[in-house]
Amino acid sequence: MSGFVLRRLLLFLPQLLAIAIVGFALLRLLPVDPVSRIVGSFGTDEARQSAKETIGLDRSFGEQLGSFLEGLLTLDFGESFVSGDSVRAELGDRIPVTLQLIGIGFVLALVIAIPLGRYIASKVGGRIEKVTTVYALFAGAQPDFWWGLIFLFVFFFKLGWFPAPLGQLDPTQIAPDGPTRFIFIDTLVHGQFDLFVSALKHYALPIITLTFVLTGPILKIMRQSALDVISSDYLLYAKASGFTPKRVRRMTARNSFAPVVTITGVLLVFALGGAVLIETVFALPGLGRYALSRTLDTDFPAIQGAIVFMAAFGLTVYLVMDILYALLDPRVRHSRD
Amino acid sequence: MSATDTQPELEFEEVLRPAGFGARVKELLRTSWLFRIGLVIVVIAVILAIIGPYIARFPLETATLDTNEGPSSKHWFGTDSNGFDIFSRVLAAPRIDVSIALAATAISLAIGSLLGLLTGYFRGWAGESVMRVVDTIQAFPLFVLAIIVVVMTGRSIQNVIIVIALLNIPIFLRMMRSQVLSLRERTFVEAARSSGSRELNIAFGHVLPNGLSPGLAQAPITMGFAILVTAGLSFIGAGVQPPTPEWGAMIASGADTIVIGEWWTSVFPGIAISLTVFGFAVVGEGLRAMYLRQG
Repeated sequence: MSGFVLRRLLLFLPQLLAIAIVGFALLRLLPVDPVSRIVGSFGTDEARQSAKETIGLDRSFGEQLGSFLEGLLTLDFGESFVSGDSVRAELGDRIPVTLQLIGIGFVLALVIAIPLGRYIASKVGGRIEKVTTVYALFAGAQPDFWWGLIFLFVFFFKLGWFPAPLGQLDPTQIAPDGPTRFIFIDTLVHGQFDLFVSALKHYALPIITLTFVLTGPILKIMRQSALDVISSDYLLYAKASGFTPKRVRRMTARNSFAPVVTITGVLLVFALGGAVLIETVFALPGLGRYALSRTLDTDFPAIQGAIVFMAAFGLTVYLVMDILYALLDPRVRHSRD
Repeated sequence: MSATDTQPELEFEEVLRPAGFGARVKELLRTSWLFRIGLVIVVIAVILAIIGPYIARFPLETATLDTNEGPSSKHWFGTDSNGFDIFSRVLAAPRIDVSIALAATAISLAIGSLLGLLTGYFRGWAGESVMRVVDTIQAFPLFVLAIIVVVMTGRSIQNVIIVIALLNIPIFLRMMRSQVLSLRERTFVEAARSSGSRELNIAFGHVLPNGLSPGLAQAPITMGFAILVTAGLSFIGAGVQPPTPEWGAMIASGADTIVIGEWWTSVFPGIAISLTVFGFAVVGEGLRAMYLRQG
């Protein structure tokens, strides 16, 4: 087991470095011109040259890569071409928004999908099972951004249950300054319960949208997986050998979780980027919208910073997934060790 | 020696032949109402991709003065802020969305299957390196990669196709590879080899055709996903550009006004995406279940 984990850990840094370097090189190979963005298409040669020097693009590719990698060691991604601010600080403001959105969305989806999938697997052919299975297939094939708009129309415009989609708080409210940048934590730390409730209302619809769509594929996998275990020979053997019902239940749960771990990991990595759609609909200042707007602005340091964080996040999820998989399914552990 | 001596030998030749593809699909159509609905949706989407732009009752990309009108007998789905007839554009959009999905899926199926065949059949350091690269790519949030590449290479239909094709190569690569890893040990491969076939011929002539089924069953699901990605990219302005009739861009054009009550601009193209992707997903799931059940 420890050998398996160690091998996986050793892969992590080279993979992260590879994505960072490829991303860095890609930006400089693609036919884009950040200088024109800054001085305009008709800027004088002197203006172009001085802009180039300011943002460091006058140096050779090797020099640029060198200072990029040097910055990586201290998580310093440089200053934005557009705002001139530290990219790390900007990311620090944006990342918590996206993590809160997808974090809560995934927890809710799992809390709904796992017991429900387990339940309908024992009621195959029943009315509830049929309806739920169609929902699972349907929700997994839906444009989440469109459902976000539909929910806004119904619950904001028609019913007025939720606030206008204007970010994390009402425009008149000011978010507390630190310490974590997670609004649900910071408001509590500062004892601003009214802001906490306001944030909850602003996040509710985006989270409901995400959960509505995410529950589908997780439910589908959980149902199938539980069905596979229930009809498996080893469970029959366990029952026949006189295992206590409690132990049989634990075995069923443990063995049907592995595929759920996989689908959750895959969805989680996709959602980190895919969240840009829901962030756009609800005007949440998250990482996805940051990456999008800075891509439109050809802001190299910002894009590089976003790429490095997203790669680290994705690789961590896959690492945790592999370890959980080995913990849950003893067969994996033995085959790889 | 009488003829009866060989009789028992012949009985072994009567191997049960699996039902053909057509018969199996017929069986699926007979037993599953969901699959019937899915197939109808897919067929309509494909027909619209061909004839959609020609049956439009109004010009698709010409602004008119009839702006922001609700659904009426003249404009069945209403008009948007440019005065475009939404019904005409919803029917014309599969030309873009379904075609992008079809082209991207075909490319990724072809390249992914080819790479899967090569890495699975000829194992070695090259194959291992390809797998490590695939692992690394899959661990990155791909939608963001799509945004960056499409925006920076120019927001054209062609670039959207290429990027979505690239995103989906790993899926087909893995499917083919796992097939090949088990097929290469089978008797018919050994038979081909002992009869003197060259390795490349075995790989392409015997292993490839036998390993394609899972990838082909996955293709409709990937097409649905490709439609979602195309619409998503266009929704945030990083894909197909207005005024080209495309569902995601059409939803975007009504996103600001739906919160003040003008719902039709976003609702109708969204229903079109919702149904189409669901149809493709149902057909794919059906084919996959059929493949898993009967091999």
